[in-house]
Amino acid sequence: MSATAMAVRRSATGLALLWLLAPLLPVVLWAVSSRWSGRARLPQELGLDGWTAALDAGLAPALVRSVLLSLAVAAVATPLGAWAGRLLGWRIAGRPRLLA
Amino acid sequence: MTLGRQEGRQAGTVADLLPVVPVAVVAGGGMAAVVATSWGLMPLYGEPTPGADGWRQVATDLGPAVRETLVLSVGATVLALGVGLALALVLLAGSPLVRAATLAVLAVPHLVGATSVLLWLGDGGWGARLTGAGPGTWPELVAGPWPVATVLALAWKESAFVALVVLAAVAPGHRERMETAATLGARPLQRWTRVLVPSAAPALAATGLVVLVYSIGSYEVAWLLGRTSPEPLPVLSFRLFGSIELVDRPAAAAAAVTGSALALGLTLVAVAAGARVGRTLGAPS
Repeated sequence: MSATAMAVRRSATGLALLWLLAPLLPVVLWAVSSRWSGRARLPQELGLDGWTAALDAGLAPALVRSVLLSLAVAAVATPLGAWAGRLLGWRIAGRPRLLA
Repeated sequence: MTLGRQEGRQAGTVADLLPVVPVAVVAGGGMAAVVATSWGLMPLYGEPTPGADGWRQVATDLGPAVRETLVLSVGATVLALGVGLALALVLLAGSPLVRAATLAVLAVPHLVGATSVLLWLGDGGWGARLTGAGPGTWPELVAGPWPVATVLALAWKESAFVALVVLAAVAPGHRERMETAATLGARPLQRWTRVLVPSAAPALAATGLVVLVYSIGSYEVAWLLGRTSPEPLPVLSFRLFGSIELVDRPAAAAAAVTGSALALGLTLVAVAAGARVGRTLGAPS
C-alpha cells in the first residue's frame, strides 16, 4: 500500500471515529464531573457525585427493568421479524431482496 | 399436483402468515383506534360525538408541522445515508476500532445521544465553552429556526445503522468484484461508480426509507432539540395528547393520523419507485 493510500486510510478512520465518538464526549464528561460551572472549558472538579445521586434516585432497579424489558422485546421481535422477513423476501417477492 | 401436496402448501401458507397476525392486531388495531378518536368516535368519557372538531382544532397547525417534520426527516435521512456509506467504506477496509464504535453508537439510546448533542451545541454547551463564544453569540443550533441539532442527532445515530446494513449487503464478494473491475481496466473512480455504488444502492434505498419513516415518527430527539413552534407532528400530537383539556384528544389523534399517513404515503411511493427501477434494470436491453 502506498504512503498516500495509507494516509488516506488513516484519515478516514480518524474522521469516522470522530463522527461516532465525539457526540458522546459531553455526556461522559458530565457523568464524572462534580463541578463544571460558568464557561469553564473542562470540569473544575471530577467525582462520582452524579452516580451517587442517580443510585439514590433508583438507578439499579431502573437498570434491571430496562434489561428485562429489552430481553422480552428481543425474544418476541427476533423470531417474529425473521418469520416476517421470510414471508416478505421469499414468498411475496419470490427472492430475497431489500427494496428494488 | 396431488391432494397431499396441495394441503401441505396451504398449511405452509397459513404458517407463513402467522407473523402478520400480531402486527395486524397491534398496528392495525392501534391505528383504527387513533383514526376513530380523531373523528370523535372514541371519546375518553361520555357518548361518541362523530365530527371533525379535532381536525378543525388542529387544522392551522398541521401545515407548518408537516413542513417541520419533512425538513428534519429528509435532512437527517440524506446526511445519514451519506455518512453511513462513508462509514461502510471504512468498515470494508477492515477497522476493528470503527466497527466497535459503530456498534456502540447503535446501542446508545436516542435520548442519551440527543442529550449529549444538547450539551455540545446548546447555548452554554461545550462547543460554546471551547470556542470562547460570548453570551448571545453562539448560533441557534438548538431550538433555532432550522432543526440543525435535531438533524445531526438523528443522522449520527442512523448513520451507524445505514453503515452496518450497507456493509452486510456489499461485503460478500466485494474484493473479487473490485479486482475483476481493475483487471478489466476500470480506474479507481470507475470502480466506485460502476461497481461499489450499484452494489450498495439497494441497501441504501431500503435503509433510507427506514430512516425517513423513523425520523417522521421520532418524538424524543425533536422534543429535546427542536423549537417549540412550529412543532413536528409527533411533538404536536404528544403535547395535545397530554393536555389537561380532554377535548384535545381528537386533535392529538388527528396530528398522529397525519404523521402516519405521511409515513405510509412516502413508503408506498418509495416501494412503487423501487419496483419500477428494479424492472427497468432487470429488463433486457
